[in-house]
Amino acid sequence: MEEPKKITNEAEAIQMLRQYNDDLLPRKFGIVGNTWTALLIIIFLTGVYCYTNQLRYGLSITGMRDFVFWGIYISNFVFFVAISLVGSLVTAVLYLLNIPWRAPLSRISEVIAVAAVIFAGLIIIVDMGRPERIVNMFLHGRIQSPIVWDVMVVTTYMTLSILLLYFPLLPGIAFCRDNLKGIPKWQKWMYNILSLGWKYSPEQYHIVKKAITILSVMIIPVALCIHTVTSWLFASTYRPGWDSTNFGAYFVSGAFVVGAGGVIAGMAVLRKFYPSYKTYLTDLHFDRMGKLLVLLTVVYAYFSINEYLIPAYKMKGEEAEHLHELFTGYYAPLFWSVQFFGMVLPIIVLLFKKGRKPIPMFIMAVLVVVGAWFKRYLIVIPTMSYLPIQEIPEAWKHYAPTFQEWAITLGSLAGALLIITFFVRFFPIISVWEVAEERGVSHETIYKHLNEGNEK
Amino acid sequence: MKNNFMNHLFKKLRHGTISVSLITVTCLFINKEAISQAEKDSAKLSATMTVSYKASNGSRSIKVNLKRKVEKKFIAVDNLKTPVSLYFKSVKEHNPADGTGLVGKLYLGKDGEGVFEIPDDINKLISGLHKYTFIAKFDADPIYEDAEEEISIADSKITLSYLGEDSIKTATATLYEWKDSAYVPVAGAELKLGIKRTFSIFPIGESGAVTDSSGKVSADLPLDMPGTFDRKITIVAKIDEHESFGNVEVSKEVPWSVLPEPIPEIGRALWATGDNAPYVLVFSSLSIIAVIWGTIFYLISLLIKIRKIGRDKSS
Repeated sequence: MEEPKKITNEAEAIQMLRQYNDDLLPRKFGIVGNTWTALLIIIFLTGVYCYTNQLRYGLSITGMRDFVFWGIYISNFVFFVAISLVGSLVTAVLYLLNIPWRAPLSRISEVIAVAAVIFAGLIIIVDMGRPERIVNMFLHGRIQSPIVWDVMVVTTYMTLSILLLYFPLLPGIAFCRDNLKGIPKWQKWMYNILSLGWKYSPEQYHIVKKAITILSVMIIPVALCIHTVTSWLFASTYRPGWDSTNFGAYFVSGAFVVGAGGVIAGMAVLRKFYPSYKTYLTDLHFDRMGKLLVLLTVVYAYFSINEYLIPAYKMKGEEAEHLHELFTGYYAPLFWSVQFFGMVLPIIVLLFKKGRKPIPMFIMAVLVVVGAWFKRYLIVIPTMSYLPIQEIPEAWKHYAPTFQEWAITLGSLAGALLIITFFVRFFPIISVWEVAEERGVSHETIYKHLNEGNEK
Repeated sequence: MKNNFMNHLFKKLRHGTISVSLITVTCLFINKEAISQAEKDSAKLSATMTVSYKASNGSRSIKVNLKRKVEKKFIAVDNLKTPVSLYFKSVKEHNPADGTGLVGKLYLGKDGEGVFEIPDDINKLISGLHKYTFIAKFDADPIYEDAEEEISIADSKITLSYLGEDSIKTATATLYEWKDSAYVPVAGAELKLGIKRTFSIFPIGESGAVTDSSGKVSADLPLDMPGTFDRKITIVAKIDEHESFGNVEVSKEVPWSVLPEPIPEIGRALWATGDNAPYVLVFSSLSIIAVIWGTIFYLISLLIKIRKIGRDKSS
């Protein structure tokens, strides 16, 4: 596993860039891609249909009631917020640290972040019985309320993520505009509009580089804010399981883990279905991401131990009841499965070099992502069973999501995957110019080469 | 001749067949209509109606409640399409056809309930009668079978007196019913005493107390109970769901010396209203928002600049 060779010769650089373009331009899906897209559309539309039912009949079609009033919508929201952190991790943190192997991963991570944060915003509206009242949040919201902070920070993070995806994409869109032949008119029109008249000029590149640096610096605190504020939605209450000063760090570390898992899964899928990407998403990238995932998971394990060990040591009142439910009670099978498959097993497997190969990495990444979803379920739901109200019927304490609730939740997950799928279909998912830069190709050579397409 | 006879016979038979066929078809049609109507009726859901009466400080009302049984549980009927009519039977036999005795009509709410406030003119009739009957009914609803429920009420009244000394403050309620030509005390009826609070009635005195031979129930008021800011407290006496009198309630406002705790002035705090957010929080959050969104608008301006450079290069 060697680092990619640096290119110093211009002729070699131009040849390499031509090869990059052939490999990385978006292309039509085959039967697998079309079937995958159709499946996602069906799941998404089923979710939309069930949501129209929810609009008509209200939240009574869900399993939520007066007592357990946060269900899988909110755990799904926390999951989306968590996975969206990957944008700032790979694009911003690794960019500012000047990590040389991050270039082919940055767009994958950024598109995952954009898709996730869009659906995080939507799912929180889905959770509202009267969605039109979201306006009241802006008109009459209390600045002291973490919910108001959350709405502000989700909106800000979404805007920053879209900009961080869009700026480095501009040369790629222009290259699609100039080089993709035999495409429908609307697609040509879309590239024309989105490329903003890009001419591959050094001034335009200079602006893009400047914007990426500003965004990389700014998105890190905002990303930390979105996760911390989301954790405060829980931690600012007295509920057992949520009443914790550790929650901000716990959420942020967990978000890094699921984000890295999401990128690894995306890398493995792209490598499988686009064989030419093997040149760009190499074993080296999997190895590095594997090591990074181990580091992040160990940090997350540290915060998890803090989160459970100290209350378990004290075992006071309702907190003890809550922990018994998690450790040995109703939620124990799910709790221990999540800890083992979503945290312990990936650490063990990825510690070995053979475990950091694409296939075992993909399996571990899927376990991490699925485990993360259920972890959010365990954070949100069990705590809802403990309200300081006495003598309520036992049935009120239990929550089971309804079919329509599952359909809406799965529809939102399918919707996020659809955004990623359509992006891969219509835009270069690996940035040619950033990969070339990583290999040491000078800006002048890149401008010159990309401008070839413009002059054709 | 024989042929003529045979033709005639066939004609007769043909006419007869046609007539019989027509009659059969008509009968079948009528029968089918009747069957489909019967099927429609039998397909309707049955619902249980309950009617209760309440007299509170002289104003009277009738509450109608409609429920249906689903899987051994009663749930509120929330989709009754027709209004429920309330008739006052005691003046004259009610007649839905010409509206005789009709008090009013109303549509039940989503909770399957509706309350008829008895208008003043009926009140006058009731006062003279001392025993009266109401009928609540609805019919021809597309979903539910017709239902009717009757309630008869005997005239009663509660008087409430209050004795306030320095060390002891006592409320006494007396329950009367109309018998022959005058109100007489009722013995052995459960009569509750309480103090009206914001959302409920705070019970005072012995739990489950019944009236003595003179129809009275007494209770001491807790001396530390806070009243209103204008130094008043409201005592309530009531009987609930009595088989003859229904629900009867009377309240009385009396002078009181214990004031409520003043609402503390919290000023600007995290737990105050939005208008009273701490200045530090307002300024710091607005500053952060301004810096971040200012930068976002600057970045958007960079996109416009990129577009402008592209246009300049093209031209």
